Amino acid sequence: MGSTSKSCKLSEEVKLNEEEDRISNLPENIMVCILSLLPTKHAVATSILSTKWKRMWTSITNLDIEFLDSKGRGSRYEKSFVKFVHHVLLSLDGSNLGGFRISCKGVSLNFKASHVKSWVTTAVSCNVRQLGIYIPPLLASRWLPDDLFTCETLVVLKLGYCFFLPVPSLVRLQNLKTLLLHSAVFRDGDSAYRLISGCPVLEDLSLIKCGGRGFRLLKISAPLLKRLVISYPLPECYRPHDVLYDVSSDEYKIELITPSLVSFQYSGLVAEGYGSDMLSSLVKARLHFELCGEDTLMTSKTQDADTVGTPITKLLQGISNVHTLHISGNSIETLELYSYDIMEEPDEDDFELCFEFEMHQFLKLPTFRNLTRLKLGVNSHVRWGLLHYDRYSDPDNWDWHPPENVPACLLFSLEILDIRKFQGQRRELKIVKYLLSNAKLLKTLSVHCEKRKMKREMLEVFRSSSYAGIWIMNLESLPNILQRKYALLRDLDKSLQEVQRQNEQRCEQEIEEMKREIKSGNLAPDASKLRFSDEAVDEQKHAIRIADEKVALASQAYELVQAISLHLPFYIEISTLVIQMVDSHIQQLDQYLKKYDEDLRRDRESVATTGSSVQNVDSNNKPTKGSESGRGGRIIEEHAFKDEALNAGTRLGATTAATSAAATNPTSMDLDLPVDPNEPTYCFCNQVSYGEMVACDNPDHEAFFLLLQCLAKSKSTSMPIPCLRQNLAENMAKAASQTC
Amino acid sequence: MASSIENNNEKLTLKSSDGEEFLVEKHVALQSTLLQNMLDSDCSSADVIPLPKIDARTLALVLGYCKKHADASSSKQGELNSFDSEFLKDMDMGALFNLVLAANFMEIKGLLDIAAQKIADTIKDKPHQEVREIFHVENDYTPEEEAAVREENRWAFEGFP
Repeated sequence: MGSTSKSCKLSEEVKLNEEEDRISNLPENIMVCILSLLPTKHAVATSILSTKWKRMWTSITNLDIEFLDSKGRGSRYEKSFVKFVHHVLLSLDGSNLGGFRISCKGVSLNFKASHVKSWVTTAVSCNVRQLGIYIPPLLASRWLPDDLFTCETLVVLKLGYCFFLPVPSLVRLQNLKTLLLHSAVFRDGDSAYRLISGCPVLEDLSLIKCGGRGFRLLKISAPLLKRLVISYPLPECYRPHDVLYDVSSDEYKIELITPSLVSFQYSGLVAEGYGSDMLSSLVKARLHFELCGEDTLMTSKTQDADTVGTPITKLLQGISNVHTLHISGNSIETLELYSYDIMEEPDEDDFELCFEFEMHQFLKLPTFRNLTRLKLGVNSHVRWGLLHYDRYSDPDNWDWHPPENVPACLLFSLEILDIRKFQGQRRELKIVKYLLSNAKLLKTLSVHCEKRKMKREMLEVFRSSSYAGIWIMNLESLPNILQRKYALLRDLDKSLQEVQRQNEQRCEQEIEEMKREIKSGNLAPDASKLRFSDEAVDEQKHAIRIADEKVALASQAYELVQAISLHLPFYIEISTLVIQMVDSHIQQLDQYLKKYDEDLRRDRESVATTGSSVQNVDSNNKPTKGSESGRGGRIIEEHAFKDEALNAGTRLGATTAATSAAATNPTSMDLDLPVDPNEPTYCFCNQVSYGEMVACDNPDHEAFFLLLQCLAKSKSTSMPIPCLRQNLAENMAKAASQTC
Repeated sequence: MASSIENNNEKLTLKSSDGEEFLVEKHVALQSTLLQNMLDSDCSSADVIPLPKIDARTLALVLGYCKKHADASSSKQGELNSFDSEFLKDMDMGALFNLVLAANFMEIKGLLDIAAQKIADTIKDKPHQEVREIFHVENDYTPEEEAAVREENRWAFEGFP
């Protein structure tokens, strides 16, 4: 079985090599699939390939015809197109048309609406499931057959571009799930309601620039509707012939009875009213209110001073269950304008604290209980002055006051906060501080700053907040933090050195004293000497503590940078800076160790000499032994310090190396870091360690480190730095044990 | 239903036309409607399922596609889309035909769609003579017949080089 099929396969391959016509011999369903994916023009054109292909295209299930432009080819070309569409529709094999999309933007004014009508009739008789018709403005009012509105197979219907939409009295589109109307003109609001109500399973509805004369109420009643887009209803409605409808005097209302709605998008003018009680299931809303023309606004102001503004408030109350709300900057401005009218007689009792400081408090805004994501942004010319509490105060000197009660959404749901156009002013900081301290569930905070110089307070606010999220801050702030940390490191360095220096002095003193005592033969037990030993031990411990602090600081800086560089690869340069800092810190620690080593060796030598002389003088002298054991204790402490520092060094080294592999260009840094005066110089170039260091292979070598750049001009990033660090640590440990 | 969850980690063996055997996790195999129906009708997952029309090279490709789509969650649609577009890139016509036939035979709709789209894209916007050359289609029309075909759907040939 296997062998026969194998030989079969082989013969197939041979045939393939002989340039077999495989495409013509594909199973029919694959051919249908391929041809249906082509624009219908191309699919029909395949009939020229060979006799086998002549009728192949007639089984396609998807028509996609586009007539863009006759390009001066005259009416003959257009006639040829019309004939083509008729012929294709009549030639189709099955009565199973999946999709029919026809776009004839390029047709002339002589184009007859009756053509479209007969095409649609044919498509409906072919049980079309998806229908998309895009036509230019037509003269005729009845260009769609009534059959279309009772087509049972129709699932998707998209009609576009400036047409009059006649809705018959009977609409029954049992299976229609998606309806998109672009620039459709209805006779009245009732016909729109009739159309939508005739689609019981409708899930997606988009009404873009739809409206009509006498269109006073847009009532949408769809029990299963999930997504609704209403974009610019009314004012931009054009009648055929591009005559603008006279809508300025038409106030209209929008009423939504959509209990399953999940996503709602609205852009356009503020309607007179929004009936939006049935929006409890809403998750996502995107609102964009346009300002009316000046005159419209003025009329509405004078006419309905009490009612204008409330529609938006009512709409917002209706959608207060949303998790994601997007209100454009324009909208807030619009809200403000409208709120002037309400402001005239503010009713103190009706004050309701808005869900955020974002909205004007004179607008009675609801609390958005489920809000998880908030994006705050303002228009460039409005700025954050919008948030001020007292609108009559100077817009440049307003202050922000937190609401009396913390809004529930802040406490219980807000997770993502995105603040745009942050300027770093004190009142803005106040707002952000308030947000940070009250948003208990906040996971992500993004702040986009406009000004290049971030205020120090801002950083303090961030530092003091305990949440573990992502900070996207002004890039410039980072070096400031790092520099501060670096300064701290330097302070610690100084104190460490001071402690060391004192210790050394005292040790030398003691040794001198001892030598003197030995010489004079006066070896009486001295309690002060014992105390001195203890003190020395304490001092060493102090030094270790300081060193620990330094390590902690360095790793803090490292973590900070890692957090940022993880999310933003372009921060890589900054991380390089920190890597260098951490590196140099390690070098410093190493250098201290080296110094200690030398100190120890010196101490040991002197102790050895004095010790032997002591033994020579009096082998039974207990106090000296005590003193010696005290010294031994000190040595142990030193080793402990050394080990700890070593561990820290290797730890940091490993993490540093991990990121240094990612950092490709470590040398070019804008930031001019001050060179630490304590920074030791290395190898033959006599420079401080800006870059990575490697341990010298020769154990007898005086200089323990070599600057990598000096070692090889072509710096290899794949250098196994952790191993080197490990070796270094081992070498150091070995050296330490030898000196013991 | 419960059994299908239970058997989630179960594996089955597919055998290509040239005798190579492939061990596949069940949830990967279920991307194929053919295999799904076979498994539903009798749970003979222990047996080797022969696929006599598909050679090993093609089957490996098909299973790579199935694995990616079975493992990716629905939320990663963008990732799947980029995988799909990379999947067929630079594939020669012979392999593409093998793949489209295999997808058709195994009833893997997504794969059939992208492979058919790739072939459709090859045909699109090309002069007919070039299409004939790519697919080795022999023009067996007489000049008169060819002119008649052109006349029948004149608009379809407008603007073609």
